[in-house]
Amino acid sequence: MHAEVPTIKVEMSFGDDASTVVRIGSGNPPDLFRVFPGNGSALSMVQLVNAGRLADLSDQSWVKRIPPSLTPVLKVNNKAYFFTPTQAVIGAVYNKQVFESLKLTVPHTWSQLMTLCDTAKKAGVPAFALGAKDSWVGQLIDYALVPSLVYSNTPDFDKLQAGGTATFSSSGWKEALNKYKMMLDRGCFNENPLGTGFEQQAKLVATGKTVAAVQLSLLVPRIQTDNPTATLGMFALPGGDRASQLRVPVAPSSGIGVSAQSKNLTEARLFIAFMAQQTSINRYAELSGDLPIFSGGSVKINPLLSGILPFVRAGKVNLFMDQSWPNADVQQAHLAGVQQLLSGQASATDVLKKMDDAYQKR
Amino acid sequence: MSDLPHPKVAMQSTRILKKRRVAGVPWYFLAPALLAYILVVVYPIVAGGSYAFTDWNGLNPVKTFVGLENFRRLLQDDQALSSLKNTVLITLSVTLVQNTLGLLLALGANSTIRTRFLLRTVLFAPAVISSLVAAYLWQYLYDPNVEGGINALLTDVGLKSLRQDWLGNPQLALFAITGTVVWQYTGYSMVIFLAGLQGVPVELYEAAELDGAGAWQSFWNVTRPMIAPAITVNLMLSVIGGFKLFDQILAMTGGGPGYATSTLSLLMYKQAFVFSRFGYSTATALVLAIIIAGVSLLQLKLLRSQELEG
Repeated sequence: MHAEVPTIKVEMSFGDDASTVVRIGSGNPPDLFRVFPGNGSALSMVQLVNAGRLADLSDQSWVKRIPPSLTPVLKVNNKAYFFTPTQAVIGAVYNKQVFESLKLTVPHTWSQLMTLCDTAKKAGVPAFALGAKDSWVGQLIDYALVPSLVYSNTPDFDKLQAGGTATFSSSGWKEALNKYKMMLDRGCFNENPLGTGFEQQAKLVATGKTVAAVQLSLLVPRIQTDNPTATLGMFALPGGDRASQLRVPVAPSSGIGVSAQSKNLTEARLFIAFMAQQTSINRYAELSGDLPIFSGGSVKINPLLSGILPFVRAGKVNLFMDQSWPNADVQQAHLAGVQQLLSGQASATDVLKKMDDAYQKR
Repeated sequence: MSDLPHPKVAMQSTRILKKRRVAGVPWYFLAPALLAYILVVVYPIVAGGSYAFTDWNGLNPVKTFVGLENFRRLLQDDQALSSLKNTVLITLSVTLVQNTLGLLLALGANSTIRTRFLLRTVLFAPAVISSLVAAYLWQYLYDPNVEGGINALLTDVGLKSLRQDWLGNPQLALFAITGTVVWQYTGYSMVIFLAGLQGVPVELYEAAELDGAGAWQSFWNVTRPMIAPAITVNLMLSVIGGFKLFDQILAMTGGGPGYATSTLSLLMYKQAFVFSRFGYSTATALVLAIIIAGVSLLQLKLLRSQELEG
């Protein structure tokens, strides 16, 4: 950026989301800051737009490239307020050496997945590393199952739920949570998953102490650092009995928005325009290991995602569920609920009832 | 001799001089400190406290007055009530264990053993570590997958059956956090008890011994009343510390599994920065402050009466 526009000097600062909220709320926002797609968290696009904190970027050329499937989480009232260069995938990151040594095959149905669990367990290697002590990790299993169990049958589930005619409790979410618990009871996971966090989960799969771990594609480079000699791959986690049902959660990653109160509005908007150039997008995707938000030019797609690309090309993908939820309460009820489900403190019905109650808060 | 003023007159004039001196101190000498105090302490408390009566979400410049709505919701919030229960439980367990151990260690470190100075330093050392660092350290020790953690130690000493998922078991997690807090701050309590113990005159123990008092009687009738102020300080500090415990919980469990280790301080943080409910979060903070103040005053009254009896 500095090379292209020498008069602009970009200063970076690193902090957590809470400190960004404080800076915005106290009237001292950074010119550019991290924004999450859709709704459902304090720094999500919808919450920030409702508070008048994001500058309108709709007149920039990249906005026309946003596909209709991503409009619900990248636009509000048909206006764009932030830009993200990549999309992240949730899938099973697996250790190819262990996979081959146990003669396993990529599962396409739930029963094949159970066979994989049983074969691995018999060999003394749990199929999946689960770091559910970090609640954001615990949620990824049902996030991976729900597209196949909910959206393959009811593609407009989000609209129906927003209209009040569908609920978590009466949908495939129940099957997803029950299957999650079934995986635990069947021995698909490492011992003590609730006492295990992300760091241990990464180490378990990288060092071959488990076959796989359900994770975000953007964290694969981090997992690889635990064992640079491991060959990692990724497959879609099947939830249904038909291979045709299989869908993958793919969604825009967090991106960058411009503060509506910025004193350097012109320069900040220039920065977004620079980030949205195809060369910048491709470079960012290559470095992060995620999928570019718009395709074009020459981009080296992360080979790890080769097992996921057919689903993306066939449109068998769904956005991350929380990006359509109306408030942060649903996500928190979900995060805590998954831990309660795994520890036996709650059933799938209890968890979904709390999520439905939280959804009603709007 | 006759030139000297009468002693009574001299005393009176000294008093007048003192009075004049006191009366002569200009009030505005206080102004800089008072201004700083108002700006740094009073204003933020009042301004912050006022958010408790609004629906402010932390981002929106508009804050709507909602009266006591946030407090009404707090009383009906299951998560808040469960967090309050956890807060009380962790406060009681930390206070009890930390002070009992602190007192025992102080009695040991107050003896004449040769290594007492080294022991005092070693035992106090954890208190100077940042609570976050201590939490991450213990998170590692509690990790069931780590080969050098508590579970590995239990296996090595033949107690494999006692291995636990320390932070993953909802029945154990709160007590595992208590263990970390106690490990870190027992040395702190010990130092305060030690200061009290060193002020007890040896003659009192000699007199008690002459009267035929045993070790327990000597402790109960001599040591305890004499270190009563140290007991008051320690109990007050650990109760207040227990009520506002936050760092260790955020780092070790984030309030989980589920809500098993969620406390009012953590709930306050989440309400503000995760749920974007700064008004509700401030209402929780006000209630917590009132609880701490109430418990502290009650405790001070009870403990001070013990000191007088002693």
